[in-house]
Amino acid sequence: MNFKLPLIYIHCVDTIGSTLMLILAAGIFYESFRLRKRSFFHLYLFLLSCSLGTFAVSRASGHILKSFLIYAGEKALWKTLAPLSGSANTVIFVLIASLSFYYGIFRNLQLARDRERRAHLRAIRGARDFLQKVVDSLNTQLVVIDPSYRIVGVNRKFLEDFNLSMDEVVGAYCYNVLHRFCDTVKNCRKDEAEGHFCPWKMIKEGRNASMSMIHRHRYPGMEEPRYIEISASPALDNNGDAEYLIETLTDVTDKIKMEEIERKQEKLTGVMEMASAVAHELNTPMFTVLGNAQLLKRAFKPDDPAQKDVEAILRNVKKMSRLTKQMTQITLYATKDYVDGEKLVDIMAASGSEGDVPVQEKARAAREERWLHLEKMAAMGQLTASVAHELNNALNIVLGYSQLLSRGFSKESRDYGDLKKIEKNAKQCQRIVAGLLDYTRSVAGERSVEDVNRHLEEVLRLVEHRMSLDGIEIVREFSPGLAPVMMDANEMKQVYLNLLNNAAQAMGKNGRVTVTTARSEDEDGVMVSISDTGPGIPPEIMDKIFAPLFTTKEAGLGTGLGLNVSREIVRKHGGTLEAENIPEGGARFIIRLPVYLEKTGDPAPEAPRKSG
Amino acid sequence: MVHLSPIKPALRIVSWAVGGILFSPLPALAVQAHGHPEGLYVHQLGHLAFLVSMLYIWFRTRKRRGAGWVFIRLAVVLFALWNVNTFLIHAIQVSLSPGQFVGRIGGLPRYFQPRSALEVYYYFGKMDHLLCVPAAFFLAMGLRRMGRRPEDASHHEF
Repeated sequence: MNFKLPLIYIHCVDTIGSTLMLILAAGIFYESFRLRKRSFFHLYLFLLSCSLGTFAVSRASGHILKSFLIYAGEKALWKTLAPLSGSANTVIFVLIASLSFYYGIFRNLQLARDRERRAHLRAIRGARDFLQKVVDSLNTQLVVIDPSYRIVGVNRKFLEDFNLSMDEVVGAYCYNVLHRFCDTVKNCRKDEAEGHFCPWKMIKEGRNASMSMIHRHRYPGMEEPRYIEISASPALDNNGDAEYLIETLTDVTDKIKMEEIERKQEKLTGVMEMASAVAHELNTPMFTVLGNAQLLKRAFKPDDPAQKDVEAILRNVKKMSRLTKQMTQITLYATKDYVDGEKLVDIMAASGSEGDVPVQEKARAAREERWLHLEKMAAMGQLTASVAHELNNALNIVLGYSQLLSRGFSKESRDYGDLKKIEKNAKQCQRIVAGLLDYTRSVAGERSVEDVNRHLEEVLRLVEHRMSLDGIEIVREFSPGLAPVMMDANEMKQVYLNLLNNAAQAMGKNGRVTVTTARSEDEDGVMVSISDTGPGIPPEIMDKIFAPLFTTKEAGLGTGLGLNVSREIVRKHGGTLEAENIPEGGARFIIRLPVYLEKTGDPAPEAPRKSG
Repeated sequence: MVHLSPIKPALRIVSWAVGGILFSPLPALAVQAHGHPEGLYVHQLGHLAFLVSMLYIWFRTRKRRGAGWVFIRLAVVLFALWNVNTFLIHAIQVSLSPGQFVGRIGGLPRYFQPRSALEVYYYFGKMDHLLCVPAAFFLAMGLRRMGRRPEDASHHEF
C-alpha cells in the first residue's frame, strides 16, 4: 500500500469528542444524582452511571492533556504521564465491570423491598376496605371534607341518595354537592341568614367541638324542602388542628313532619284533658244559673212576655248541661282502653307467642299503637273543641237574655238580683270556656325563628295603657342582640300576657312591673323575667300555683288555668317557667327558652326548625 | 534409657528450612518484576471486563420496557462496541512502526501510511469518539427520561 491517510481528522475527532465527553459526563452525573434515592435499582444505576461518567472524564481529560502537551512541545512530560492516564482508565474499567455484576444483589434488595411494600399496601388496602365496608353499612350519609371545602370521601348511602358516582363527588366542593343552591363559599353566607351555618367555618373560627344542626334544603325538582340533620365532627391531626371534617347527613323531613303532626295531636289531646277539668269546673256556676233561672220562671206568670226570655235562658242552660256531659263522656271514652307505647312493648315481650318478633318490630308496633292512640285523642280533642264552641254560643245567649231581662227590673228587686247572679255565673262559665277555646285556637300555631324582645314589646304596648290607668309603671330592661328563639309567637305572647295580667292583679293599684331579657346563665338560652312589686306569693302555695284550676283570685276573676297553660306552653318550647319571691318584696316569674342558633347539645324544641 | 518424642526431629528440620529461606534470599523469590507488555495486557483485560459487563447489563435488561430503557440499552451496546474497537486498536498499535507516521503539524504526526487492510481499519478505528460520545449521550438521555417518570411508578424496575 502506498498512500497516506491524513491524521488531522483523527486529531479533530479526538479533541472535539473529548470535549463533548466532558460535557456529557456532567449531564450523566447530574441526571443520575437526581435518581439515586428512588429505589435500590436507581441507586445501582446511579453508581454505574457515576463510574461511566468517571471513565468519560478520565479518558477525555487524558486525551485533551495529551494534545495540549504535545502541542506545547512537552512530549517528554506526556510520555511520563501517559502510563498514569492509561492505568487510571484501566482501574475505572475494572470498577465498571465490578459494579455491573452487583446487579443481582441490588435486584434482590429491591425485590425484598417491593415485597415489603406490597405487604404494607395489602395491609393498608385491607384497613381501607374494612373502613369502607363499615361506612357503607351505615344507614346515614357520610361525607369527609378537607379544609378547602373539597369532598375527599363519601359512603354508599350518600352516593345512592344523591344519585351521583364517586368520581363526580370526590374532589368536588361540598357547597356544590350538598347545598346546590350556593355555588361559592361566599354565597353560603347568604344561607347563614336562613340558619345554614357552615361547620367548617365554625371550626376555623376556633370551635373544634362536634356540632349538629338541621339545614332546610330545597333540591332541584323537589317541590317540598327537605330537612337534613347534619352532625359534624373534626378529625384532628397530631397538633390538634382540624384536618378533615366528617359530616353525617340524615334526612329528617319525615321525622320532623311526624313530630309536627304529633305535636298538634298532643295539643288536641291537651285540649281534651283540659276539657275534663273545665267540665268539672263548670258544674257549680252552671247549676247556679239553672237554679236562678228556674226561680225566675216561677216568679213570672205564664202570660208574662218575660217568660219567653226566661225559657230561652233555661233552654240554653240545659243545652250547656248536655254539652258539658258530652265533654265528660268524650274524656271518659278517650282515656278508656289506653295502652302506653312502652307498656305495649313489655306486654309483647312477655307474651310467648311474640317471642320470635324482633325488637324493632315490637317498637314499630308500639309506635303504631301510640300513633293510633294519639289519633284517637286528637279526634276527641277536635270534638271537644267543637263542643266548647257550642257551649260558648249557649253561654252568650244566656248572658244576652239575662242582661236584657235585668233592664226591666229595679236594682232593689229580688228578680234583678237573680238575674245578676245568672249573669255573674254565666260570665264565670264564659271565662272557663274561653280558657279552653284559647288553648284550642293555639293548636294551629306555627313555629318560626323569632326575636324575644320584639314580641315582648308588642305585648307591653298592648297592656301599657291599661296599667298606667292603675298607676302601674312598666320598666323595660331588654338585653340587645339576643339570639333568636324557635317559637310559636302567639303562644308565647299569651304567656307574657298571662304573667303581666297576674302581676297587675297582684299589685292592684300603683306599682312597678320590671320586664327583663338576658342571655341565660348557661349561655345556651334566653331568659325573660317579669317581676312586680306586689305582695309576693305566699310560701304555702308556692308549689301549687302552676296546678290546673288553682287560683287565689276572687270568684269570677280567674279560672286557675293561666299559669298552668303558660307553663305548658313554655315546656313545649323546650324551656322552663319558674316563680320566686323577691327579697325586697314582690314576685318574679322567669322564663328560660333555648336559643335557636346554639344547637350543640341543647335541648331541642319539639317543633321543626323552620329555616335551620 | 531416655525416650525421645518423634515430633522433635521434624520440628528441627522445619526450623532449619525456614531459617535458610529467610536468611539466604534469591531475587526470584521477592517482588516479581513486570516487563513492558504487562501494562498493555492489563489494560486490554480491563477492556474485556468492560465489554463483558456491558454485555451482561444488556442481557439482564433486554426485556425492560418504559421510558429511558431504549436509550440506556443503546448506550450499553455502543460502549460494548467501543470496547471491541479499542481493544483491536490497542492490539494493532503494537505492530506499527514510528516511520508510518510522517510529517508534523503542531508537534503531532500529519499522515499515516498503512501497510495492510488491518492498519487501514486502525486509521478509522482511532476515531473511537464516534462510538463513545453517542454512548455517553444516550446514557444521559436515558437517565433523563427515567427521571421524568413519577416516583411511585418506578419501584419495580428490575
